[in-house]
Amino acid sequence: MTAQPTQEGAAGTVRRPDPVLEVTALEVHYGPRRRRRRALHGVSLSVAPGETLGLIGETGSGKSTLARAVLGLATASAGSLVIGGEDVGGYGPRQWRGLRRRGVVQYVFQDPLRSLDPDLAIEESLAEPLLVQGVARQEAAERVRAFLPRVRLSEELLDRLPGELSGGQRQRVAVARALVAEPRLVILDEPVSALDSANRVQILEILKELRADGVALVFISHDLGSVAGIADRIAVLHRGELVETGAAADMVNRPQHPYTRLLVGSAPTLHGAPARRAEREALRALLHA
Amino acid sequence: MTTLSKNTVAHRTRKDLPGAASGDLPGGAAAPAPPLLAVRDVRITDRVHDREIVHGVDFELTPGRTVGIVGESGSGKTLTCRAALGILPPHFEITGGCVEIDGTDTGTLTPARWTALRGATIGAVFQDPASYLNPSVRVGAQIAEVVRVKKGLKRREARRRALELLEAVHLRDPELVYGQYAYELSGGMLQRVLIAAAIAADPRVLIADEATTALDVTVQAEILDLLADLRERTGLALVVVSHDLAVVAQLCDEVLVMRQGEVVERGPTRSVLHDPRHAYTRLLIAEHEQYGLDKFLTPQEDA
Amino acid sequence: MVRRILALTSGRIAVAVLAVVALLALLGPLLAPQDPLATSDNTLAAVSGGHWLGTDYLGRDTLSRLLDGSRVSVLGSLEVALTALVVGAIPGILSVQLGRTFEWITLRLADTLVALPFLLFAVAVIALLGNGITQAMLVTGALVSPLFYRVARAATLAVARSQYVEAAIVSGASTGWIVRRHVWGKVLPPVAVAFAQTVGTGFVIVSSLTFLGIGVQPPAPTWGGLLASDLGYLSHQPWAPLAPALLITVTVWACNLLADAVRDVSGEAGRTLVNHRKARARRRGGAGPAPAGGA
Repeated sequence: MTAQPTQEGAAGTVRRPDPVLEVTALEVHYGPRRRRRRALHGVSLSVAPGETLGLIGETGSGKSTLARAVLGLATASAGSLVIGGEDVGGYGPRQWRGLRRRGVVQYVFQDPLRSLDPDLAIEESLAEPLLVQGVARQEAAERVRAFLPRVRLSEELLDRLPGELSGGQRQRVAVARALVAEPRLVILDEPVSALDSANRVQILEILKELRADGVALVFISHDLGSVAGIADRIAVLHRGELVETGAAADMVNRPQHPYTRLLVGSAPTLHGAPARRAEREALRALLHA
Repeated sequence: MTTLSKNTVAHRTRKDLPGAASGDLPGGAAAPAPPLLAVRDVRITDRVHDREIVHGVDFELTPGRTVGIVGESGSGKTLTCRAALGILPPHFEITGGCVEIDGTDTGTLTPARWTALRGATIGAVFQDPASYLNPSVRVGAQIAEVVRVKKGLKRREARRRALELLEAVHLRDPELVYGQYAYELSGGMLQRVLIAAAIAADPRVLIADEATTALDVTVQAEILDLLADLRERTGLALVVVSHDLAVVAQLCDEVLVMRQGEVVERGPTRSVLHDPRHAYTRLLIAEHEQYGLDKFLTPQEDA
Repeated sequence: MVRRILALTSGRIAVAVLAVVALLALLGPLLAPQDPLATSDNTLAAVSGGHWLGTDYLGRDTLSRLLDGSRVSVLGSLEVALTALVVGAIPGILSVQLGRTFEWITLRLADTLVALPFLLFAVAVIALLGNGITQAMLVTGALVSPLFYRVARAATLAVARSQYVEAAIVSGASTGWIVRRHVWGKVLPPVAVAFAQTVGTGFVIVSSLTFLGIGVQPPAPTWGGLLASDLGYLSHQPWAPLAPALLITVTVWACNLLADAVRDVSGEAGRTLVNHRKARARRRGGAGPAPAGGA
């Protein structure tokens, strides 16, 4: 692959406003005291409004733990976590709930079928984040309806159950559910990996439009290739540590860390040269050494 | 959920080399190689709903070559593979065309002959490796069993052969893996074990149906590399099935794009990628070029 | 929920039967044609114009005794089931939501209650609190409550680990909201089935306690008590147990039918069922909306 020089400074080094999310030297451990394991070690990153960060990591890399820590579902043992200008270190359940009620962060799960209550009509699921924030029923219903066109859903679906929708529709509902309360930060866990091409493109287009509104997105995936096209910056997690962060184009064209190089070299492409097996072998040997 | 257990692949027959499948050409390629696997205008019908699901799939596979089938779930790609393996689910039937394996029309085969053919001439690996292994038997013993049944080897030889196979699929410590249970292995390792079992009886065609879909990208690349390596070393012919055009593009000489039971586009991989005719193929390509790694790669005219 | 139950044929039948039973319980004593406690020489009489269901071994009018006993019987078994529900199901749900300590304590309490010998415990409590129907039923309810505890806890556990509850938490939902919105609907069907079963067994429990002289005192009639005494004279009046047995059977059956109806209409299955009906009605009504556009 030719390492073409990209327009320097265009993608990565623009002066950003205050970040929505700022993680500094984060450590997360899990397990009982005896068999305590480190899930994250010294992770630092920040996401600015309107920015899309691709968080890449494979099984066991700690990417889900990082997401859970940011959502307050996992407790950090060290480091600091600033969400929307609020230092949430040492927050108890009550303070977390307060923060969530203000609708700063939302989360889109990987599997929309399991993240929507099977017994609740789509309308009720969509209105939930608003109702929890104390919005009146009438207003919540109106806001849900007003939001539907943005995720290409028709009002007809509102009284259906999740089980009665197609996979693509369900994922759009899940995205809508996270966005209807106008959060400043949305974390998406493999939001398109279970979808077919047409639906995948549709979701990605919807997310692209959101960026224009200044929403910060964290796009979690195991596949650098599936995130490269939408992310402004990419962060690579490997065994609980952030090995490399940079502008998407730089990460693809000039990966520095061996693991990032392996990731880029492993992602299947249409036009990439197929003869990279030897290179991959060498990188694997290097990483396992 | 698939019902094919490992036992179907490694069915119990002692007489494993009947006339038709006898291998007198061990990988050495004759000049105009006859097709090892020929799927000729195969149509598959669901008898319960009396609906044709696959409307004519046609391809040929010669030693050392690779055909890719791309399509989303429900496009009929898996049914086509199952028809080629003679393991269509109940109520599904081939209602047109035929499958020829090594020159034999499989429509004329008795179940016993089919069983002999599977594993010895044609093998397969699927998406969810864990469900094809018995959780309470050490994985090495399960591979050895295939070798004993299909090749008629004695216990000790079978063990040695199984270890060789585990090494052939690049498992780092074959001795260790041999004694482990399925739950102790990662997804990528399990898929390697399954590939080892599938090639245990030296088949000449291997069907990989979404074999890397559930795996991490780096592991997926390892498995794809392994398949390419096997193809080069043994002249194995491959059918690679995936929903991802890029996965198929890594390995295949020829690509079939399927949609709703129909082959909407087919041809040599390079020409399909560079000059797609069908709107659906263009969508698949556009997805990669707009949102995938290909956004940053300049299309190279020849690789 | 109520409307959905009534949309089912089985639901309508169950509600109708239970309404009749409830009426009996309310008005039974007033409807009784004769004094249920008045004895006569006309013992073990056959069915006649004067005694529609004959008389018992003391010459008391069976119909009057059945009607008079219905209030105590129905209230008794309801009391058992309600006690068990409150004492069992609510801690069952909360054991998942309120954290480790509460969970541990309630689990051990439930184990303890299961281990207690039923009759001995009942006798002991009666000895402490005095003999009366309310005490007896409360004790019985408490002893049956582990069933509700387990059922409610199992259903809650399944829900609590689900992603949609996590999604609600991330949206800022409180425990109360989650229980009301996501847990309750999933816990209700199995609890309703357990409740119907308990109401059924309640009749039997009331009668067996009566037999021992606990709770309802002998001359006062109950359905179970009638059945027990009729069984003693089976050789003279083989048909006599039929009336109380039929009453108990039909009531228990209606309870179970209602429980099934609740299970059928709640949850996803229920919603689809109702939606199908709606769709069919729409289709019959003419131009229906286009079918779900699947991609």
